[in-house]
Amino acid sequence: METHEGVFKSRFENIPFGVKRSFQQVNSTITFEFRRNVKNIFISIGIAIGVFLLSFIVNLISESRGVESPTTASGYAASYLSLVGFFILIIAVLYGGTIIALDYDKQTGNLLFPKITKGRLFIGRIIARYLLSAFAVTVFYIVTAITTVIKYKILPVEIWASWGWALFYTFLVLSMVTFFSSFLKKSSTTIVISLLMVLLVFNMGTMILRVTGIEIEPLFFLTYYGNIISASLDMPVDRFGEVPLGPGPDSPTGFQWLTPSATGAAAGMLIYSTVFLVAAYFLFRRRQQK
Amino acid sequence: MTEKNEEIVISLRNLTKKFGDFTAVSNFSLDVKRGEIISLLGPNGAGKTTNMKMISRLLLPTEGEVWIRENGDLQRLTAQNKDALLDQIGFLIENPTFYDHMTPKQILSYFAKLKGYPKKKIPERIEEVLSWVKLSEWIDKKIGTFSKGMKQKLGIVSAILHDPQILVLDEPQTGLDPKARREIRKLLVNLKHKGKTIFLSSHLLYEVSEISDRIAIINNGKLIAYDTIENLETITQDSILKIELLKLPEDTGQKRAQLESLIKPITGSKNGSGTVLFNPDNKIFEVRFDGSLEKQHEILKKLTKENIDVVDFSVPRTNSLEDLYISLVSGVTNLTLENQGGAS
Ligand SMILES: Nc1ncnc2c1ncn2[C@@H]1O[C@H](COP(=O)(O)OP(=O)(O)O)[C@@H](O)[C@H]1O
Ligand SMILES: [Mg+2]
Repeated sequence: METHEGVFKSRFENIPFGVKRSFQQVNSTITFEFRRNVKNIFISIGIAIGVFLLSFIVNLISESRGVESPTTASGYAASYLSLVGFFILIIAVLYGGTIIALDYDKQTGNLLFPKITKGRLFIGRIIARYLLSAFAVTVFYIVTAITTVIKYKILPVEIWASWGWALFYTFLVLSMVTFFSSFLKKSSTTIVISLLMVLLVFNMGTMILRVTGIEIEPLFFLTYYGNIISASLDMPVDRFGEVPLGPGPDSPTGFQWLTPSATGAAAGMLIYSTVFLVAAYFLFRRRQQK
Repeated sequence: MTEKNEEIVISLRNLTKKFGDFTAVSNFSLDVKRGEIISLLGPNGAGKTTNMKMISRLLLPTEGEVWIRENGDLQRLTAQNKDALLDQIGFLIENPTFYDHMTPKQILSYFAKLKGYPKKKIPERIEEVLSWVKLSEWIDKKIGTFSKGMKQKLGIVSAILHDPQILVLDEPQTGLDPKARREIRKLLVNLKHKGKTIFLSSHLLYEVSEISDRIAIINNGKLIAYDTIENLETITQDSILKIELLKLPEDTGQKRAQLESLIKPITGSKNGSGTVLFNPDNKIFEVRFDGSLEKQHEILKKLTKENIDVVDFSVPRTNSLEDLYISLVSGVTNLTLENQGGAS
């Protein structure tokens, strides 16, 4: 192959190849993905506000029934985070469900390739959809922070850490959904399988550990990492503690791991999401248009 | 790995693609010359799309090479040079489907950016190419509201958008009504006049016969003819002689060879003449020859003289290109390619 001083020339001046071209393609993919997801942005903001309002109303009701408000601002902020894991899951399936499966299901991939390689498309889409998911999570934190400041006149510093963990956990869940999207036939199946995986498999697993009293730290359960989001607002907490086994106030109790350590969470989430993304990329690369 | 040959812009060399045990494209070689419209004609499942996917590196060939001209040199397509080489080509492969809630302007500007088209010129370029297919008024409309034909046109537009020298279009007329088909053909001819080289596929002869400089007929993954329309039409002047025997011999292969040895001296072997084939479906021996009555008579005389028990001896005339295409792809007629231009 003949190269001229090591670079390819083209009919257009300044047409970039190699690294520069990759960068440009990733860049325009991100812009395009933002445009493509305008509707989802509004939906995700709606979900963020909705989840916030749900907790807000619960707080109002318990106050009106004489339950004492948390004494600290961070405790109050934590009361909004009981649904945060579920909220992140919803956001991740909203943006991740269509990330790959849709192009095969609806055959829209026919036009994308070979204009762009799968690797560059994959990177651009992950970045774009992660940023969009992170934006929705941030909206949720902003309204929570504002409410806390209004009520307690201070912004607890711990909320920054919690926000950081939430963004990290969002990346993890999005990687999982992307993994499913890379080989499942349809976006809708991807969404259902992802929800089932989290709500059934991981949550059941946690329950089984609790009931059977097995004391290994469940670092292999993806959902376990979500616990650090609210735990970080309340540090130091016991990482291993007593929890009720049943719903009632007098139900027997068991012990379970409550939250990973910061190091454990960071390492675990990093490994977990890397495995998901690498697997997703290779499945995507091998995947053929019908 | 460069070759100096000013004419050829795409060269497919011994391309083979296997899916497991199944061979979709088999030892396929073909050169496309600059400024030509070349049509890859073959029935569904013949391997047209697979071929085009190998040009675009959507599929890697099991064997063989793709060469593309870039910057004056014919270069072998590799993972390293694919950006530069594939920029020379605009592709439309299989059905074009778009994100329904996006507009042509949004999608096309994404595609143009992916191809590195100068940013400032993109809006103007999009308007220009849309006007070629009469979609200017739809530039800001959601594609979900488009008809199949409009989407097909948009697919073609997305291939020519970055102004490539070569177009590879997989069944660009499929799904269009007759009027739109004609529009597309006109557009392709116009593009040819602008100096573009076009390699398109079709499973219908009439879609491509009037616009193609050469037609490559593909069946079961193999190239079975590659020539100009005129030359293919000359071949159609040839006829198939059908010979049915009183009793089917046990060894049809041996009988076939015997018949061939008797007939070939009469017909000569130009363009595959005189080759005897046995068609197991109807148990009839078939010979291609130039169709002249003298030769027909001589063959019959010879067969009678040699005591071959002929019960039926007939020449159904095949005289249209359409008939040739059908008989080629149904395996009734076989062409040897040695005497034909292009297939090397
Ligand atoms: N990914 C694949 N795996 C297995 N077989 C395939 C694959 N793609 C195509 N084929 C087979 O290869 C043959 C040629 O297909 P194709 O190139 O799409 O034909 P055409 O475009 O001429 O209709 C068909 O028999 C098809 O079923
Ligand atoms: Mg096809």
